[in-house]
Amino acid sequence: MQTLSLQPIREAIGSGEFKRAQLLWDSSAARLAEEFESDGFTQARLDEIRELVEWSRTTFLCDRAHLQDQLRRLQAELRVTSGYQSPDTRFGPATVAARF
Amino acid sequence: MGTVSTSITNTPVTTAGSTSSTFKGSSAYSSDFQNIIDRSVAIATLPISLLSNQQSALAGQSKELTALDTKFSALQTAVKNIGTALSGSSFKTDVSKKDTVGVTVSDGAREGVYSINVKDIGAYESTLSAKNWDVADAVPGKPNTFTLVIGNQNYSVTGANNSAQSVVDAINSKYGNLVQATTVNVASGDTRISLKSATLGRTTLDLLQLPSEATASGLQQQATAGYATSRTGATWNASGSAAATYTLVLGGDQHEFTPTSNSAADVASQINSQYGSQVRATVVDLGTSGSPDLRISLQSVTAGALNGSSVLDLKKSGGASLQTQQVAATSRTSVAWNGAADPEGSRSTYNLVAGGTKYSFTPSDNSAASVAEALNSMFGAQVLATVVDFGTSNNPDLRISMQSRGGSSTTFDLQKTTATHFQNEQTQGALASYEMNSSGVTSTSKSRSITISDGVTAHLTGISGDAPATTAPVDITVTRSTSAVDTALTAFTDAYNAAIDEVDTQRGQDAGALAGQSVVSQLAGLLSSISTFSTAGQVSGLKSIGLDLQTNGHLIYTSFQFMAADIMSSISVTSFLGSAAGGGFLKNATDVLGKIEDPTTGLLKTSATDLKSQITRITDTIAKKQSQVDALQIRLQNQMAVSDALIAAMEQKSSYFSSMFSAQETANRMYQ
Repeated sequence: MQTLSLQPIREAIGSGEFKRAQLLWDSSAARLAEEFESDGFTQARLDEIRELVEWSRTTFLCDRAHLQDQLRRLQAELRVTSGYQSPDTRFGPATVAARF
Repeated sequence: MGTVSTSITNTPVTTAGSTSSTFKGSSAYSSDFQNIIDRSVAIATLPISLLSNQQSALAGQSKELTALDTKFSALQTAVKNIGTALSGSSFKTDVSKKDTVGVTVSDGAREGVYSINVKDIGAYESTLSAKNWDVADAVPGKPNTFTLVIGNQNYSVTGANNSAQSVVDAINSKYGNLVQATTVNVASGDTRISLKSATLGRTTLDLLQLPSEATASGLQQQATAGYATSRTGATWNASGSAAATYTLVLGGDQHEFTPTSNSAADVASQINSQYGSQVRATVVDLGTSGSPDLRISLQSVTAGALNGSSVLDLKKSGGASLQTQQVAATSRTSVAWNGAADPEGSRSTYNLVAGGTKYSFTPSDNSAASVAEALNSMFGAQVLATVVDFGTSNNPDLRISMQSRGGSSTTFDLQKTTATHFQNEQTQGALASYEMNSSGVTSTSKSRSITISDGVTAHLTGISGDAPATTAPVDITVTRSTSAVDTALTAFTDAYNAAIDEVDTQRGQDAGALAGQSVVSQLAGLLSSISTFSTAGQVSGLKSIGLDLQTNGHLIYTSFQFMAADIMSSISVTSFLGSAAGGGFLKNATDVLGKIEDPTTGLLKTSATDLKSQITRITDTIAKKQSQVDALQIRLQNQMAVSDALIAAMEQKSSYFSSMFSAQETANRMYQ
């Protein structure tokens, strides 16, 4: 059975396309299960999957940290522009409400 | 005494003739004298009255000009608002796959349908510290100075202290336009620094700490006489199934040889094999990976003239010279280049020493090719770096030679320092790639914001089609709002008619103060050139978009007619209306109104300025003449006073004598 390439998942996560990465994970999970049932996983394969999971987690953490920084900068700009009574409605309070 | 007001706008200026009886004499003729003074003053005041009348007339004209200016200024604003209604803010966009592409529209946009096939939205290069950030002070109590590497460029970074947050803050405050830095809590007690490039694509992002006592030695050997160097003047022509015979010119000597094929690699290899003790041939690619541009670079092994000359040439036997002679290389690595990778936790950084000045840089790796590439990309204005192979294909012996670009005698050296490096690659950068309008041409970009047409920007958020296939293009439709233009044309009509009416108040039977002035006919003519504008095209005149010119000079606007024309062909309507700077109706109207309203050269402004000058001149003249009249009055009064006094004295004497004579006569009668 042909081994499923995990590179597309890595590329999707690397470019920040998390939605596509999620779709790829979901479809890959089924293929990986078939692969396991059919041939089982070698140690190298297990290491590869484990490394991808760990790398993905770290990449998500980094992206979240960068986004939080951007939010903080936007909030600071909002405070400054509010002080000048900026009419720019793009930076209304609703824009910066987010949860992680 | 009459006075002349210096106000020249709305207040009428008057002079009052002097009728005050300021002269009081004591003779019987004092009232006659007063009459003479009054009459003289009145005559002298006549010109002043005339001037005052002129002044009033000019003030009236000035007031009318102000009223005209108001109307034409409003018309100018209305024309500008038509332009605004056609601008980006009034456009609407529709995207067939909103999770793939977002679109923004700005001024200059035109209606249209576009398609974009997004093959890759690209990725930002990012790195993460290899472990928990905990860097000790190199000098106790003093924060370390780190080297931030972005691409090949080195930047100095010093935080308030060595903590991750301080270093991050220092990076963002100085280089936030190039890289974003943040701290990441990977696990409990494990905080690292993440660096993320500001642009898409592959690059180097690292943090280095140079050894505190770095004493890098030079890698290059200087050669004042220089190594003769030449390079093929055009892309190497490898055509011909049979290998040609070539002539190699080494200074004063010529040698013939036949390589295994005409490819640049085989020709260079044959030269090195046969004449490698005198000259080294290297294949250099001046093109890109998709479009190579191969040349053969020749460089002498020893410095100075070769067989009495510095010429290194190559030609097909009987053919023309293929090489262009270059500035001699004055610096070359003295031993085989050490391109070995750095041990883990280390990264080498380099200095180019040009004359006495050091320029630091960090190549992507230690290979001679990467170092030469970094030198050429960063310092190509000063130096040309070339890799020369002194070995064989199985056992290369690479050296970096450097030639001065400016032909100066500057010496060039390279220094290498191995530093501690902190960052490992987390995500590999990649450029965005896309295909526009099914053109078959793939373009790349360092940004996810792509200008697909004037004023239309696509923001890439995902690839087209379902992963992994990327063949379904996204349709983008840009349309202009009809209602915004309709509103603007309505306002334009009102402003135009108001301007016409104001001009008409200065013509005809009950014409205003500007009656007969050339400015009135000029204004009427200019207004007419706006309402009669025409051009070639499906929409050729104002009538086509619902603006009908009446015999009384007014425009009548029919909204439905405009909407019908816009529905039929909005591109034709947009083309007819044009823009203030580009062309069409708006440019014509803007230029015409500019001739009227320009603050320096406009017709209304120059007329108002001219009037103001005339009024000022008349005011000054009136003041002078009034002074003359006042002086005349005083002079006459003085003269009359003297005369009156004399006559009064004579009258007194006459009275005395009369009374004497009368008394004498009475006495005579009494004694007769």
